[in-house]
Amino acid sequence: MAVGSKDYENVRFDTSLEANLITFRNIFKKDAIMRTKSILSFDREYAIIYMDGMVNVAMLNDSVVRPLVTVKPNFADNIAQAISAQVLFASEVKRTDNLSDALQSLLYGDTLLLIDGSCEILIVNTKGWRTRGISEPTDERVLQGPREGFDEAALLNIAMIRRKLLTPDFCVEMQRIGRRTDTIVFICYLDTLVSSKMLKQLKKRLSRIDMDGILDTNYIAEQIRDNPFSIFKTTGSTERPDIAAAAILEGRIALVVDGTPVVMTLPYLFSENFQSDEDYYLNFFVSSVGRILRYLCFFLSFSVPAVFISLITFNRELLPTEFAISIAQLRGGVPFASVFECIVLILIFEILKETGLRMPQGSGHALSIVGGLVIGQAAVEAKIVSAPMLIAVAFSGICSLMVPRIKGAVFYLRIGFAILSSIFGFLGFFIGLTLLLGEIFSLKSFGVDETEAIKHIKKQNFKDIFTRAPWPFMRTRPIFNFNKVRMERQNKK
Amino acid sequence: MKKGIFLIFSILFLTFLCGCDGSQESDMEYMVSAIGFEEEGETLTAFAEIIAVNAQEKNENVKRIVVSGEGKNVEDAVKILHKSLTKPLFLNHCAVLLVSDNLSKESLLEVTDFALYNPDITKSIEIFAVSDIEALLGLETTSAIAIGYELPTTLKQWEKYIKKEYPNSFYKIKAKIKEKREDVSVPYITVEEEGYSINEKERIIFYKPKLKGSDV
Repeated sequence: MAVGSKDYENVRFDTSLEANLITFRNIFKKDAIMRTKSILSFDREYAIIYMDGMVNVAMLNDSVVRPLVTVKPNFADNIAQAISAQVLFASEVKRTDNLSDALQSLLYGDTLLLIDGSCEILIVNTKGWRTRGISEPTDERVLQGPREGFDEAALLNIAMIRRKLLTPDFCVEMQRIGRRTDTIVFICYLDTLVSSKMLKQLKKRLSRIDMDGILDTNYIAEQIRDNPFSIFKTTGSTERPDIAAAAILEGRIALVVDGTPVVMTLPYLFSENFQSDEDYYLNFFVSSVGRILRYLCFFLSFSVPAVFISLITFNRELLPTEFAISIAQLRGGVPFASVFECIVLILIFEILKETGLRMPQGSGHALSIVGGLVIGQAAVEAKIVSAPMLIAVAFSGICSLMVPRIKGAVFYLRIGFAILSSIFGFLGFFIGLTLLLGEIFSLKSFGVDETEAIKHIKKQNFKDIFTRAPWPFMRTRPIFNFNKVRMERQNKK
Repeated sequence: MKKGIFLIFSILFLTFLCGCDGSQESDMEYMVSAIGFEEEGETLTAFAEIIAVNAQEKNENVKRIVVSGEGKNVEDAVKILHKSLTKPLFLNHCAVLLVSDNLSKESLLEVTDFALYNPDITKSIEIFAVSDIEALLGLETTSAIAIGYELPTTLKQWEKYIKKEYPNSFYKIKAKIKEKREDVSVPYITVEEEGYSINEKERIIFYKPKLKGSDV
């Protein structure tokens, strides 16, 4: 049984209009939105087929129907060519005799023009599906800088990127992935900057994907990424055209998937987890402080609960005496072990966070009351949790919000480090740290070490990692791009 | 392969750096602020001033409890002391080691060895001499939560007043004993009715056959 357009690759059209119409009616016999219209003009029969709701009806009438009934073509050799060149008022018209191509176009919002007596049909661009419109992405807000965000329509997204890269060097290749969805995926890059090896590797991995449908970028990301079971990302994602354009300008490849506003960029460096979208739009002092804070907060987010558990269960001698007495007093009466308290509080924090994201706006106040008062105050007074542990976990939770790009990984790190510290104390913490560093330094993204810049101790490589150097000093692109020059040295007068 | 070897070596290396073993919740131990030893005939008594945390009355100040254990020697007395309590003793925050003026030379050396070889007792612990340890520990505190924490700060104030320093940290005392020096002395606490005082003139001299308070 045929499930996708590709299953009709070997089917050719008949010269009989009626036979072709029957073919389409059989394929779409259970589809209530396919429309057909027969037209008789100048002694020849035509039929148009389109999907209701996906075409611009006014464009269809103006570019196809009206010209067809008013203009008489001069049929020299090829009927379809004559109609296409002499009659239709459309900007894009393709001819095909292949049913697979026709189906793909029909299902993407084009109109098919069947001609009696021709085994070729015409595909007319009449796409008119409604889009959400350009709006600022909710997860990538900036204080200063562009506020455009991608849309679900891939063509519109490409146009938004192209508006920022006004160069003929900008290449857009198209692929279709997904047996049943035939999702269009655009591979975007700058021809003179991209690594051909990486591009080839990407196309190879994309060609290996064989699944029913691709509905989002992540469907592709999980199937093509290196380190598939790592908690850290090895492909980037963004909903902002300026970020996608900036990535392409650094020699990266952007993957635009139709039907989702999330664009994938690769390769992805580990330091990108700590970059903010507006780092390059604010003064470098401000950006640098923000970046240092993000690195610090990442470290604090998993180390504070773990170190606290180590200090109060293994190494109480390291605490100042009065603080140790205070901790003992505040912890007194809590029946649970410190590590259990810590893990439960981390889970509660994550539940509150997720609930806050997904609940209707009006319930937000109730949630903050429940979260703050009930869990915070009442749980401490009831001796279910202790106040110092609550403070440690809450502080580390707030630190984790500073690095939203690795929030998933931070959750696992917090639990893992807490368990290691509860078993081995500070030894466990350092074991965890060693494992973490080993994991980070082994990450790869399409052949590029994610920590490539740190391994090569060069001044230029560090200018955009822990801080952001002023633009005149960032003369070369990231190291995986073989340091191609980003800007020429300015002449000194 | 490389990552695996790196990890194995790192873990082995770290094992030598950190000596963590045995976890204990902070409220499941008694924190000792002062420990003392007194001898009477053949019996040696070990005292401990412990901080008792009362979790039920959160606004209440922490309470001090003075516990003791008798034995034939230091080890025996400390063992009996441990057995008499429901929770183990946490000696890492013990700030003061009290010795009575009737400790024999042998017992004194035993006490210093106990403090030296016990891994929980920090080497910055300060040694004081006193006539009646139980009476001292039973006094009401004026500046700190426990006598054991009050004595070092009181001594520092006293040193500023008399413009003289008492080198009574344990590691300094132990070093002098090892060198067999005769001028090893520690501050002497005299217990009075409503308090105590540090007697500048009376000191306990270590490492002499018979210990007495004497002018130096």
